[in-house]
Amino acid sequence: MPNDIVSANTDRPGDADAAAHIAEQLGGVDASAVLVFAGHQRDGAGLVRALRERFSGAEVVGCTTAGEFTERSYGVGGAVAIALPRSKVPRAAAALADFDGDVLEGVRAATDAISRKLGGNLRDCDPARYVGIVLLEGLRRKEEAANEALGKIAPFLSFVGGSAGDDLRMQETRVYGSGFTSTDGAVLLVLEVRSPFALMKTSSFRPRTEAFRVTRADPQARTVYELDGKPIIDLYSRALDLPPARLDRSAFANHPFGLMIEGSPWIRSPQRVLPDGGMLFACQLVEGMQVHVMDPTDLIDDTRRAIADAERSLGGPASGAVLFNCVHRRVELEERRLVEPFVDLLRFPTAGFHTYGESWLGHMNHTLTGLLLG
Amino acid sequence: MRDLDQIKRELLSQLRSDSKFSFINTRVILKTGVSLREYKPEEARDPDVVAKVLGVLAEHGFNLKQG
Repeated sequence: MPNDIVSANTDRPGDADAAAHIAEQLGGVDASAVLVFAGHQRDGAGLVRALRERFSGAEVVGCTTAGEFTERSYGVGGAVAIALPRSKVPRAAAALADFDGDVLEGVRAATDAISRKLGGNLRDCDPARYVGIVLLEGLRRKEEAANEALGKIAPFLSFVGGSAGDDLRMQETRVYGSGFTSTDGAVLLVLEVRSPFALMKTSSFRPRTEAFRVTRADPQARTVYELDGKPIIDLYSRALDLPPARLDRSAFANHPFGLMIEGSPWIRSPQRVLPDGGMLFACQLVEGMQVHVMDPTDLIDDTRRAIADAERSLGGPASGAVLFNCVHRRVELEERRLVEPFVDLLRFPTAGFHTYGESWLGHMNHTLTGLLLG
Repeated sequence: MRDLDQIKRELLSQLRSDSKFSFINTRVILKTGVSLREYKPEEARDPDVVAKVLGVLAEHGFNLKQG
């Protein structure tokens, strides 16, 4: 037990009770890092404090969610956690990147602090031995800037993660760690990993043949106006054979846009049609990008395949995972009654949450990203 | 004037790793829309495209401007 990855979940209403319940399930793990994902109405900082007392010496980090899950639980407003043992993760270092000023400077300050803790420059870290987790505030649209900053500072180090949620209220999301809480920042956690590890990224869409080039966009506003020199709304409604007035949440959820990179889709989800003729997305598209309208595929089959691929790369069954699942996928899981088959795919200790965006090298939508350990 | 093919070859030669090249190429695509693996013929020598790609590479610590 002290050498295994262990997950925990709780629905207990009081934060002290919840922390005690989580600590009891995590048991005697000799942990270097503990991650805790909790409903937005919970005192996440209090949970972190309580778990930090129980796991002294471990980095304890977390964020608010749009729902949480483990390999045996699925819900909204509870809390889930995972403890990573020193046998697999001998060292971990975390810091808050404060985005109140410049995002790059905030990320730089955090990575400098992590470098000091680990005793080496993150740019020089061996990406086969080190991996990062990033938990981002989810409503201020700073994920692209944060991922770009991570790329500038440590271009070969993978940071996988997601954007904090608040159960679709879209009011406030928080990230937290030992001694800090932020509504405008990101928690960075870097792990030195002794066992094999694999990253996963899966979305359940395939591209239509026709490709469009973004010819007019405002990336900072996550808005696209034209594809191939024509209004995006006209092209999109023609592609879906729907009048512009019927371009609604269902159309966007079933037919997002995808940027294909080395055969894999990076999903860009439309959010709404703007009065000025633009289309607002949940992440940036830049002029020059070539995108496809996507068609849905089978979420459960695709996720099963992605986990199998990750386990092949591990060389055997996973011993634990931290997963970041888009809240659009949560909606799909619930509307199509796929929650049970989804949870059944997790045959190893897991802590995950439903996100407002997923991260790995960049920001994306409608995707499941994650870290699996062997 | 250099083109995207030269930039790709120089970057590959600096990195000496296809997986590292993929990491950087993905970051370039997300920022510029241009893939160093699958660029369009008309992009190859477009000065604006070349400058954009070189700029992003420089931001990531790969200064290929003096070619």
